[in-house]
Amino acid sequence: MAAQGADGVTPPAGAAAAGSAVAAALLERSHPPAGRTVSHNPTSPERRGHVRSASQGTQLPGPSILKGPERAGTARRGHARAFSHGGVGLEGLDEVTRAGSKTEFTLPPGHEARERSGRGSTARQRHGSRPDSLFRGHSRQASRSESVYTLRQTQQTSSLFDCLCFWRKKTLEEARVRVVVPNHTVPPDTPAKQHPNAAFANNYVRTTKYTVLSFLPKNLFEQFHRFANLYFLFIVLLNWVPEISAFGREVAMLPLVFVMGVTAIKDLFEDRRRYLSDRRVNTSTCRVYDRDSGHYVQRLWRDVRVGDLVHLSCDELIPADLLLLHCSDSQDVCYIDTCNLDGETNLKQRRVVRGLEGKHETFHASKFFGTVECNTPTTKLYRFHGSVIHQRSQQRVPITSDNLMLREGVLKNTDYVEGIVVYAGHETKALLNNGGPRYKRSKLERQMNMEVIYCVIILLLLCFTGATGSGLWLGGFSDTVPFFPYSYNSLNPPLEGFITFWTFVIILQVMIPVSLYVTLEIIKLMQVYHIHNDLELYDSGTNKRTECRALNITEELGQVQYLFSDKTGTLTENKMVFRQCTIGGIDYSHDAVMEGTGKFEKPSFVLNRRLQDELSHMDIQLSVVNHTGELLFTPHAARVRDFFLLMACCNTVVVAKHPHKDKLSSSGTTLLEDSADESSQTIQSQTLATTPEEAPLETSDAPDFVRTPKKWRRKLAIGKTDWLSLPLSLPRKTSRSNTPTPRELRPIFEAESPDEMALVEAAYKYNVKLLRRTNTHMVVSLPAEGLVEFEILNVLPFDSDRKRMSVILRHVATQQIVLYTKGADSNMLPLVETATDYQSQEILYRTQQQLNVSSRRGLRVLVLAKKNLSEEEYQDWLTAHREAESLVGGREHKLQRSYAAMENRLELLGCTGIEDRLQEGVPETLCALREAGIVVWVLTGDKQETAINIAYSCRLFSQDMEVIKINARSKNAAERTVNFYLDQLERERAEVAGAGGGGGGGGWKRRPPTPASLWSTDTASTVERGGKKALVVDGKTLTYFLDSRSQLQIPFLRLTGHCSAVLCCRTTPLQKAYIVRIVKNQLGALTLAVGDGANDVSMIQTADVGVGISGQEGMQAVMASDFALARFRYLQRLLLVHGHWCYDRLARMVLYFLYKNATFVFVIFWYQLYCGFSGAVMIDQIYLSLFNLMFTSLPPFAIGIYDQDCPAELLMAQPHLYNQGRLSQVYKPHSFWVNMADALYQSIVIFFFAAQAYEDTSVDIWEFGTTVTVMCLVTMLLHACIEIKSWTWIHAAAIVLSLVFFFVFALVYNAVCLAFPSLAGSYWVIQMATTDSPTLYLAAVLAGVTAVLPRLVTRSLQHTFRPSPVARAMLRRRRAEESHPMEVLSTVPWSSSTSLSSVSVVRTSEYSGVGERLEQNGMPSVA
Amino acid sequence: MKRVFSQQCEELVIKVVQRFEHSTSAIMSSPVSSEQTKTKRPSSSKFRQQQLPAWQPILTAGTVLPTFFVIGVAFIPVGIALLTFSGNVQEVVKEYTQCNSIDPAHNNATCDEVLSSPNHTAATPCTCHINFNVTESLNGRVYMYYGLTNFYQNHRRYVKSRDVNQLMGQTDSALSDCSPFATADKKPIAPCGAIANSLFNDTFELKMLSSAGAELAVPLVRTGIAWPSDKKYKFENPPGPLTADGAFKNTAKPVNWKRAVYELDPAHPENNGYENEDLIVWMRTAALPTFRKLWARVNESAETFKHSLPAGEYRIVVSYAYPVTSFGGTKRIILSTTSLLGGKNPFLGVAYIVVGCICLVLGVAFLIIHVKYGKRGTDTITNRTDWSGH
Repeated sequence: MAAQGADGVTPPAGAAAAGSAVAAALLERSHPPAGRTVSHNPTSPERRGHVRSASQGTQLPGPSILKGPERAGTARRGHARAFSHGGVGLEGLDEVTRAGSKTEFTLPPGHEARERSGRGSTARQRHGSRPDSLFRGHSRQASRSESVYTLRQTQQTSSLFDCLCFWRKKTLEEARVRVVVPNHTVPPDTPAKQHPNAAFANNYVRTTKYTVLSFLPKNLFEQFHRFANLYFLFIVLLNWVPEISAFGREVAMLPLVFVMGVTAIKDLFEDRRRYLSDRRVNTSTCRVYDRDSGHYVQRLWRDVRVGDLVHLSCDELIPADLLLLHCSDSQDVCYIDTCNLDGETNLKQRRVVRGLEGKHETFHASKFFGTVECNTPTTKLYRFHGSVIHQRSQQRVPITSDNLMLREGVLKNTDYVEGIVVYAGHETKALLNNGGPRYKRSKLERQMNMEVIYCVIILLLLCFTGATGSGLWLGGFSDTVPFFPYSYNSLNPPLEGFITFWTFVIILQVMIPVSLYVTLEIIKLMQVYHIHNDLELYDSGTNKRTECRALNITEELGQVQYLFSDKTGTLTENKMVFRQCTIGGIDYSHDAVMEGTGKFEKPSFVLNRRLQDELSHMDIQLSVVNHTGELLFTPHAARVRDFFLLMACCNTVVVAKHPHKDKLSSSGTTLLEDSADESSQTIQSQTLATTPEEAPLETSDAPDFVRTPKKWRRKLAIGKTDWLSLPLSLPRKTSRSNTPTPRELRPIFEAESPDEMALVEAAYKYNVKLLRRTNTHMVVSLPAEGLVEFEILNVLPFDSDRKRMSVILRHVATQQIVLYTKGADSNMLPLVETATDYQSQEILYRTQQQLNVSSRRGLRVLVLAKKNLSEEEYQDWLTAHREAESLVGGREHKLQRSYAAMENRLELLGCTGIEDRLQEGVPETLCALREAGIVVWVLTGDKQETAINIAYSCRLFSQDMEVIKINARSKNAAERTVNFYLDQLERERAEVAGAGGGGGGGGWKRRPPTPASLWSTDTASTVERGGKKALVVDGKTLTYFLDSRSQLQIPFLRLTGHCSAVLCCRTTPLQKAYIVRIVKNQLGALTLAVGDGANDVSMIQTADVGVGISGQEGMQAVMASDFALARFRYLQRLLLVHGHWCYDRLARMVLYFLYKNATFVFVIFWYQLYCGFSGAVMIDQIYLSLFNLMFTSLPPFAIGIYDQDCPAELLMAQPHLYNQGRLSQVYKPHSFWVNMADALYQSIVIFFFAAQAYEDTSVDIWEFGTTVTVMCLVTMLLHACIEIKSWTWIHAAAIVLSLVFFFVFALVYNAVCLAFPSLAGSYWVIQMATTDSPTLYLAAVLAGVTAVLPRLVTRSLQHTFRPSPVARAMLRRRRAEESHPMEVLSTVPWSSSTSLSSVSVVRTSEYSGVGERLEQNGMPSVA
Repeated sequence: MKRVFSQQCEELVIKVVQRFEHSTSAIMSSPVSSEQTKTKRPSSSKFRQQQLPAWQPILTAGTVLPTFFVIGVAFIPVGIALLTFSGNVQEVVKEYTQCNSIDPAHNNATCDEVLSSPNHTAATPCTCHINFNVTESLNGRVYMYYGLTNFYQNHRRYVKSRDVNQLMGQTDSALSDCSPFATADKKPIAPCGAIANSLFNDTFELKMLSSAGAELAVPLVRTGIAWPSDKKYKFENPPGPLTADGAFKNTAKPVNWKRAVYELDPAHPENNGYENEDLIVWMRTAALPTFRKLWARVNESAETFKHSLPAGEYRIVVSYAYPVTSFGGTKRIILSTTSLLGGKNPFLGVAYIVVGCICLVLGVAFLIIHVKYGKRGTDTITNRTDWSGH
């Protein structure tokens, strides 16, 4: 890489020099590593030749080179090769990136990394080259990071507008390379169109579906995509045929216009939410270089253009994809957090573009004249290449994704950076990767759609019957029907039948409940509103409410069968607290306390007195003098020292002296330039100068208090005021407390993982302070020795195979070389040197004991060890290691061996235990969810031991469970294990079943073990019978199970069906998603996934219901989720109360709606018996159109939004009531038919009562219709009264208003309808009908009562003899209230019980808490 | 440029929407302002928290049985009352479809046969007599109806076949719905359409026969039989005198009619044209294929018929012109008094009594169930620990 500058081809100064030159340059440079790709590519020789020629062709002027598609293809191939090996030639970086990628995305073998970019693939096909060989290298690399997104289905947006805009995109695409000129170099009077950067998208982001102009056409277009609306449209058109028409044309349009209007308004409001969030983003500010004023000025994100130079401070969000030009760091690197993008929580290093390095003080935006060439935007996060052409030197410097800072990333650990915008707005990688919201269809809706199909069938049946009847009726006449107007001359029954069929379609259209869809959507919107407003789902700590991001799956919450939970951050708080350490076999435990107040409260620990003493008196123990005259510690003291030194050193923690500050204020003016630098330098020098004598160890209660010299204070005061005076308008999401106190003078540690942070901070508390750290050196303050400087010789980074990391340090003073290693116990203990003496054995034994104890307490344990190295030993290893590093083939393997060669024969120091605190209320919640019959799976990336510990502490596992662990290392082993356990369990189950059958239980039958029957109705009960089992599977084993080719999916799922809890550890994000998917698909179960981190995104999106915990790990999970909670424990209320309600409400509402429509249609159909099947409707067409939309629309809303079959506290106290929704007991497949039968009966009652009451009277068709309408209305309202389970004023109002509204409407309408000739039939009808005779009222009351009688009788008999669990619970409560009114009133709902459940607390209370509460409620506790 | 414009448009619309939202949210929820400030704590109003005071009845035998008793107790008296009302209505129904022509020329053939015979001319209606004996005097106001059966006035094509505008006196109406009865001889038919065309055109005279064989004509009132609203607003003659050259200039009479619309009632000049009450009554299409329509009422002002139609021998002289056998129908003439409910129809009364009885029976049954099983039902719940819900 050193040759970099030298081999840069210097092309002629063509303004837009070709990208192929870059390719050529890269190709030439990277020829040795390219070998692998070449070997896979038989056609490579000629291709290469081609590239070569292309590279020579750079002499050709202008971008014309790129126009030929072949050329473009080869050019890209060159890139692909160069990039296939990641950081080829960037040795320094390589290590960092590798170390960083802790998340291991193991794809199941069947999985192929899909290319996301539709554009890319089409381009490839057009070029006709072989896509495999071309992109292999690259796609391999990309798949690692992109796999998070792979499961997400890219919706190829096929909207009309995209089609229209297609030509434009195409032209952009052809350019292949984008040339970005810094905006300040463009003359100010350049017309906008000729601006070199004019063609690129600006940074304005729009995620809304509509704009003001496109709303109407686009919304209409979308709405007519729905079957229901098309059906409506069809009916409207049908009505325009005069022969068929049943209604006035305008009237027929009424329902369509109404439904679509309401939907449009709803869409508008939904889109508005997106607009507001867009606006929030677009109006964020950042600082952009302004040529006119000569410095950076504050500008809105949306005004940032490609070619702008942007200045960013630490912790700021990156507004667009920037090429890094300048950075505050002396090493010319900065760090970004790309968690929002790819979900990797580690920091990534970015480098300043070559050629601009080291220009620290001299760099100024106005002096940057380079031109940037890069590839056109793609979705691939790490695919970026191009070059910067420096104007002065005409030097062409390649740039890679290492120089690119991606939008939505956050700048970390760097004071400030400056960069040029290369992609903005929708062309940034973040937005290209941002899939739109998905339309989820709920289970209930799917079922409902099925019923709608039945409705269609019923409708067709009715129409056919009607048509046949019409033909037959006409056939009964010999040659003419006297007085009747037929447009054809001779009677033609078949033709009449055919025409009447269509008329029937029109008049019976109500059978298809089109307004049901819009009703559903509004109801769900209101349900969402109430969930959003629930006070008990509001977290005052974080000031967050529960957010419902998906508006149409509320009822899914009530039907969850499988719950998949992430562990870290979801069940636990992901706040690591140092709780225990064992040094040399001696155990030191620490109690947890909370530190700080209010919002800044964080868990911490109390220092162990004994350890503190040992450390503080270390200088006294510094007594033994060895043969060289050096002072030595006693063995134990030495161990203590090394132990803490290791805690402080062996990590990837970055040390910052002061909060990262920028000398630029948000408005762009330079501030504080001197004082900030000076103060930090002073602190640095002061710290370095502090000797142990000056800062003696404090043994007081505040041991980490550091005396601050007066000079510091003064400096600080300046710094503080200046700091505070900064406008804080920047999007400073993660900024730390910005009021430095003396306490915060300690270095700020920035760690990749919270574990490391916990260790370093613990060491700091014990006065082993990591003060400074660079790539090569670190300074540690030790209690006995004062400041000690170490040279970092090597870092052997953490990886998931070794599960350990090491550092090799050289004491600068003594030149002693030591290897410090920390890692998982399972991997570390075998490496510890076999003890020979009794003492070491004792230590090993005790440490192991402690490890077990800690593990059982649910702590994350690490084993710490060291090894002294002699100079020769080290040098030998180093040469071997260097060799391994420089290897091309088999490098990974060699490196692993090299690590192994170093990490052996270790000296055991001790172990640490870190507590990952459980979130508040997690055990109770999990317990309640399990009691609710939800099968809970915990999927974690953590190691098995930790995961199991947490599983116990959060009561996923209980002590009486038998834990089955499956750790298979081969497919065969996996198969054998699974079949073994399956056999065993099934035998067991059979035995139990036999016993149960003999004992007269009777209800339980052995089912054939088909996958579908696994969960079918009684997962919980089958589990209970066979003794509780818990299953633990690790990631590797899962790979075999999840592979669709291995045929192990079904046995695995069957096995899990026997277990009441499943724990998958060491899973990758993608595996999580796969697990959810196979459970969803193979078992057909309704799944809910809950997680907080970006690694849960794919799982959340795969599950039917995705829940995001808005925790510490960024917002990615929340953004992907359907529901965002502030706390895990809210899940209980969300599911058990809101889910239960929503499901119950919607199910009953849908059934009611279907019944209502069917009754109405049947009534009309019966009339056909009396009008010669002519398709005549006695009900006025306006009534007919509005009946569903208006007159009977309120009760469904009252039921759907406000009905409660059971009060919230009862649902919380008795989780088993959730079964009602989980097992779909309200809306069963036969419910529809029961309702249809009821509708049939009711319609018969209504119609024939009316027909009988008006038999042989002078009643006219409209008066008859009015009476029938009133009868229908009364019947349906009475029906609703039976359905309503909880009467509030809303319900009463809905019923009364429906009736009142009808009469008011009818009276007005009948009075004014004469103005509309087509509606004149109803003139003054209702006035006559209501005043002339009481028949209308009498008939309505009679029909209403008679019609609902069967439902009332069956309902009450059902509740008397076989009440549903909910009704039973309600009845019990009612009885309890009657006998002991006070006790019931004092019942405390669960959610209000707060338990700060650290592990120990939970373990002592175990199940008893639940039992007690149940007994308080007068419930027998579940044994 | 376009983008900027659309952005501006958007912002404008958003402002409007916001204002609208603000006003609506002010109605829906008062503490909007508190939301806009820092805390997002939801309001604790009972509505938002879904904690409105509620009554949660559980329908069990015990709770429902009072309802049944109440319904039963309420319905049976109502039913009895209705039955009484219906029973009080006196009715004389005479079917005359096959009545014999009194014209000796017709050779004692039925009028129906006369009508369908080929040499029959429309100008000479067939006349027949219906003699009947009223054994009990009909008390109160007595109405005279004609009834038809199997006449589908409610047929879709038939119901539509009229022109509301024409009947309201507009001469320039398109008559599009009236086809094929819209025009005759290229002149618009007045009134057009199948309904008008099929106007019932039998006429009746009611005569009381004294024992001596003398006939006393019962005075009949032929007006006031239509709905006042119809007569007043829905049917209006076109401006001008009711003559062939006046209001109905350039119109044709419906094909089945013997007389033009302005000649329908020669006795009462104002009862002609569209406002003819027979026409109005006929135009109000019946709901069911068996129906009756009011034809006249007995004039109570006449001394003999004050408050009643006395018992005795009566004869109705029918001018038989309306063919019904071609569609299998029948014709009736009905003399009837009325009650609160209209005519004689025991259905509602019987239905009320039956439903009331059913409710009482159910109430008793539920009472038994409640006493016997009601308590036991909840006891089983107490002892039951299996909550799994299966």
